[in-house]
Amino acid sequence: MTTPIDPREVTAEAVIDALEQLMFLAGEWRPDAQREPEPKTLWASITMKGKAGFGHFAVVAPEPLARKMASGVLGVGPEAVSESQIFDTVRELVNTACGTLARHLGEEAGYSLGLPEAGYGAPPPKGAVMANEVLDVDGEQLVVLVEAV
Amino acid sequence: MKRVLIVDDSAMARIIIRRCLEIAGGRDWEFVEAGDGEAALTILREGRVDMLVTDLNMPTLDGAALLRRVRASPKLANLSVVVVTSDSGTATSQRLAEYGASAVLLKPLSPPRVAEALAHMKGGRA
Repeated sequence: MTTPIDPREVTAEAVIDALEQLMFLAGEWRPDAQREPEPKTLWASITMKGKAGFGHFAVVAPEPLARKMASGVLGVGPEAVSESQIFDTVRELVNTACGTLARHLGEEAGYSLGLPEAGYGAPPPKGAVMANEVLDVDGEQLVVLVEAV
Repeated sequence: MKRVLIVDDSAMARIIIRRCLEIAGGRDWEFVEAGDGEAALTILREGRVDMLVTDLNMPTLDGAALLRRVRASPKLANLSVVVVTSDSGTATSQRLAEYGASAVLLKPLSPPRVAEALAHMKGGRA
């Protein structure tokens, strides 16, 4: 007998796995956490296309956290990281995490991924929110969104 | 010295791929990089490359199209080509196998997984 999959947990775990593998950062899912307002955030999103329809997978990170992620990949101090490297990092994070999520959802779901996009602020709403999770990463909040269209 | 071409539109992804390759056995390899398939073809035509490691999803000329162009070229047909992707679908794997990929690596990459894939490659086509 298989254990039912909790989509919220699977979503959070996909990002935690990518954070560890790519950026050497530990993340912890906070299922009951409230989102705290951040003065400056970056987002990256990617389209998932499957048999059940379209979806969007996105992360929203405070700028200092995104800078720390890029710093972890590059192996340099946060002050040495450029804006383009920060955006590149959050795009790579959604690309990798969404691939992991698609694998969890199973071959029969038939998901393929688009090209990641990124920007400042929050991602434009795309559809019905399926997951809106908060991760604690080094004391900062990383938000993970999954929307169905 | 082995010369490896890494192709990805993300500079950060190229760094990650290179680091994994270095740890997986390529510390003394020479690495060259390209940001898309067209730039990769230019490098491949101009000089010696022993292995091509390319992302699948890229603008301009993606990894699958690049693979097909490589296999169609008499000069490059036997080049080892590793495709890196987040897409784990069977259809994608089958398509890449049909096009002649030597190996397909799923993201997130890790040095042990890269080392295992390299060990199972047969030089050129898988």
